[in-house]
Amino acid sequence: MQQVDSFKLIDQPEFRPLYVSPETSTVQFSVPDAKCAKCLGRIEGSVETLPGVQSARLDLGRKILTVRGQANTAFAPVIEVLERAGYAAEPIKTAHSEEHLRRRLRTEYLRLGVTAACAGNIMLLAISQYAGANRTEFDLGFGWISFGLFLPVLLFGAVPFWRSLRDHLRVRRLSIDAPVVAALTVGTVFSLKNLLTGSGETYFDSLSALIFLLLAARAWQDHIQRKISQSLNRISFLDVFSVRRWNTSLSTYQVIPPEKLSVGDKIILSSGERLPADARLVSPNADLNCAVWTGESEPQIMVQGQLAFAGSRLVGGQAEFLVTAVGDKSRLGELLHQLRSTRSERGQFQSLVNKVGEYFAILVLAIAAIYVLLFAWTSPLLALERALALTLLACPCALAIATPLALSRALEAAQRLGLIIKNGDSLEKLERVQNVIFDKTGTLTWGDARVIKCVPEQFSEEVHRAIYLLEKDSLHPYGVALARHFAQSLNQVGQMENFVTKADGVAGRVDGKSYQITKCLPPNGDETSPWTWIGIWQENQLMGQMALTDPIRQEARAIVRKLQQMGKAVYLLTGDRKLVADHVAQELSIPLKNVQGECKPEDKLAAVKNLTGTLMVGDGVNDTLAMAAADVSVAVRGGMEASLKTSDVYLSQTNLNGLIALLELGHQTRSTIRKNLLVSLTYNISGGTLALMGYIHPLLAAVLMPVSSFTLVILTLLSFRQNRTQPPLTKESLA
Amino acid sequence: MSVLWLMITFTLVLVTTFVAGYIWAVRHGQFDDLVTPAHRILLDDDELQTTNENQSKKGSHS
Repeated sequence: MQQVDSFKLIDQPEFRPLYVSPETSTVQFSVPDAKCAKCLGRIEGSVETLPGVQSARLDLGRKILTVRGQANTAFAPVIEVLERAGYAAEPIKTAHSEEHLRRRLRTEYLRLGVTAACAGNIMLLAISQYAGANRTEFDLGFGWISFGLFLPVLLFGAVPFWRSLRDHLRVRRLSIDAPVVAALTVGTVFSLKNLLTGSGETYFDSLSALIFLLLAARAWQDHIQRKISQSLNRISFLDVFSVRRWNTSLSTYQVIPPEKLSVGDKIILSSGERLPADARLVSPNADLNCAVWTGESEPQIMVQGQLAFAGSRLVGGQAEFLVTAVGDKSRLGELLHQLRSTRSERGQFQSLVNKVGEYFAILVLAIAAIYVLLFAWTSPLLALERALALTLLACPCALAIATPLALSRALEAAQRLGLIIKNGDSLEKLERVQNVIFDKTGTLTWGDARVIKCVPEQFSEEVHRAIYLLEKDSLHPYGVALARHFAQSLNQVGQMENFVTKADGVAGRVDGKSYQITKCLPPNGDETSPWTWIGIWQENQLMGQMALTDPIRQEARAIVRKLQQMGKAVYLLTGDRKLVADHVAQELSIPLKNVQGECKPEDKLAAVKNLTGTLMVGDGVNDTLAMAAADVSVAVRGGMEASLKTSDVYLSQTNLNGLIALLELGHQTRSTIRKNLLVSLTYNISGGTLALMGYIHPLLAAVLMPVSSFTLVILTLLSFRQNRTQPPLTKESLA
Repeated sequence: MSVLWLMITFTLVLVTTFVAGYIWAVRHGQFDDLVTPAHRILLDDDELQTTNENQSKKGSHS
C-alpha cells in the first residue's frame, strides 16, 4: 500500500519534527490490530531489538505504541519490522494532545484517591463520635482532626465543582453543581462555627463522602466515554501524509509533508491520491472524485485550469496541479472555520438535570431567605440555623450521583448495539428530535455504483469476457462495478491489446475483435431514467446495455417507515441530481416536498437551520456543516473521516438499524433520569420541610443521605438491566 | 484512654504515608495504562526477557 510506504519517510528532515518529540525522542504509533498478550510480546520484542531504540511500550487499551529512541534513531525500521510481523503502524502527529490527556487523567486519579482517603478517615472518626465519643473529652479533638482531613477535600478534591460553578456563572447559568457547592459552602461554614463554639454538629463526614461519590460517578462516566470514543479521537480531518512537490533547483519531485506546501507550488498526484490543498489542474485533463464535496460518487472530468478542492481524489493516471490555497485559506479550512461558528451558535445544551438544579438552587435559597426574614424578629439564631440546615439537606446530591451513572449505563448499552456516542448529552437531546434528515449517497444508498440491469439479460460469453478484461484495472467507480459484476463465472483468460481510456469510457481489442464501452442513451430513449446506462460495442455494433446505479440499502425502507410511524418527519438532502433524489425518495416513500437535490454544503446547512428538533444522518464533508447545526448528528460507517469527527453519534455497523435503537435508547435514558428526578425531589422536599420544622436530627440526616443516594443508584442500574437480556437489534438483523 | 491519642497520631502518620505513596505512584505513571500490565504478565519467558532488559536500561521515566 502506498500510504504505508510513505509513512517510512518519517526520518526525512521535513517529516521528522512533525512526529518525533524533540525532548524525549519518542514517537507514538497507532497499531489498530494489537489485541492480545501475544501481540504485545511480538510487537514490543521486535521493535526493541532495533538499533537505537531504547524502549517500546504498547498500550493495549488505546492501541498506541510509544517508541523511545535517541536523537539520531531512525524510526522507519519500526514501521518495516511491524509490517513484517503483520501489523500496520501509523505514526501519530498528536503527541501533544496525548500528553495533555495523560496529565488530566493523572489529576483526576489524584483527586479521587486523596478524597477517598480523607473521606474514609473522617467517616471512621464520625462513627466513633456518633457511637458516644461526642460526650467525652475526645469530641473537640476529633472535630478538629476531621476538619484537618476535610481541608484537602475542600481545596483539592472539590475543585471541579468550584470550576463548573464559575464557568456556568460566566454564561449566567446554574447547574446541578450549584446546590452541591451551596451545600458544601454552607456545611463548611456551619460546621466550623459549631466547632469554634464547641456545640452542635459537624458535617465533614457527609460532605466529604458526597464529594467522593460525585467524583467517582463522574470519573466512571468519563472512563466509559473515553473507552468508547478513543478510537475516533485520533482521526485527522484530512488524512494526507505526504505529497510530491516540484523542486525547480533540483528539477525533480520531492516528497514533503502537506504542512510545508505553499501557494504557487506545483504538485503531482498518482491515481488514488488525495489533494492536500486547493489547486488548479495543470495537466490537460483528469478524472477527480469529488464525492467529499458533492456527495456524488461519479468522478468529474476536469480540464486544464479548472479548480479542484482539497480532499478530492484522483481516479486513474497521474495529474499535475498548481496549489492556489493552503491551510485556513483553502475551501476545507473555510469550512472548518464555518463549522466552529455553527457549533458555537448551536449553544450550550442544558441537560434536564442541570435545568432542575438551577431552579432548585434558586428555590431553596429563596425559601431559606424568606424563612430567615419571617422569624428574624422572634428567634434570629434558630431561624438562621434551620435555614442553613435546609440548604444542606435539600441538596439533590443523589440526583447528581445517579445521572452520570445512568449516562454511563446508556453509553455501554449503546456500544453493545454498535452505536458510538461521543457525548452523553446527545442521548437527552434525542427527545427533542422531530425531523430526521438523511443524506443520500453513502447514507441511504451504498455509496458505490452497482450493475442492476442488463439488456439483453444475458450477454454472450465473449462480450462478457471483453467487458471484464477491459475494466478489470479500472479505478473509475463504473469500471469497478462492471469488473465486479462480470467477474463471476468466467474463464478469465483472454488477449487484450490497444487499450485506451477515453473521456467517457474505454476501448480496446480483445481476442482480435475491437470493443468499446461508453455511456449511452437508455434503451427506448427514455430520458427520465434515474440510472446511468452504459453500452458495449463490438466492431462498432451495439451488443448490449447495462444500467448502473448506487442502490438503496435494503434496510432503508423499513427504517424510514419506522421513523414515520414514530411520528418523525423524514427529509432527504443530496448533492446528487434532482431526478435521482426524487427516484430514491419515491422508493422509500419520503414525501417529495421533503426532498432537495443538487445541494451544496451551505444549502444543507440552511435547510437544517430552518427546522427545529433535527437529527441529521450523513457521511461526507458536504454534510458536516448541516450535521454541526443539527441537534443530534449521526455518521454512517464507511463515511469520510471528517463526518466521524464532527458527528455526535457514529454507527459502527454497516447498516442503519442502529438509528432506531438510538432513538429508543434516548427515550429510555430520558425516562430513567425523569424517574430519578421524581424520587430525588420527593425526598429532598419532604426532608427540607421537616428540617425547617426542626424535626430532622442531624444523625438521621447523615443516615438518610446515603440511603437516598443508594436507592437512586440501584434504581438506575435496574432500569438499564433489561438491555442485557434483549438481543441487540442490529446483530439480529445482520445475521 | 490517652492511649487513643497515640493511636490517632499513628493513624494520621499512616494515612499521610499511604496518600504520599499513592501520589508518587500516580505521578510516575503507574495508573496511566490499566489494561496492558494484565496482559504483560502472560508473556512467555523469552519474550519477557527482552522486555525486562529494556526496562532496567530505561530506568525511571517521568
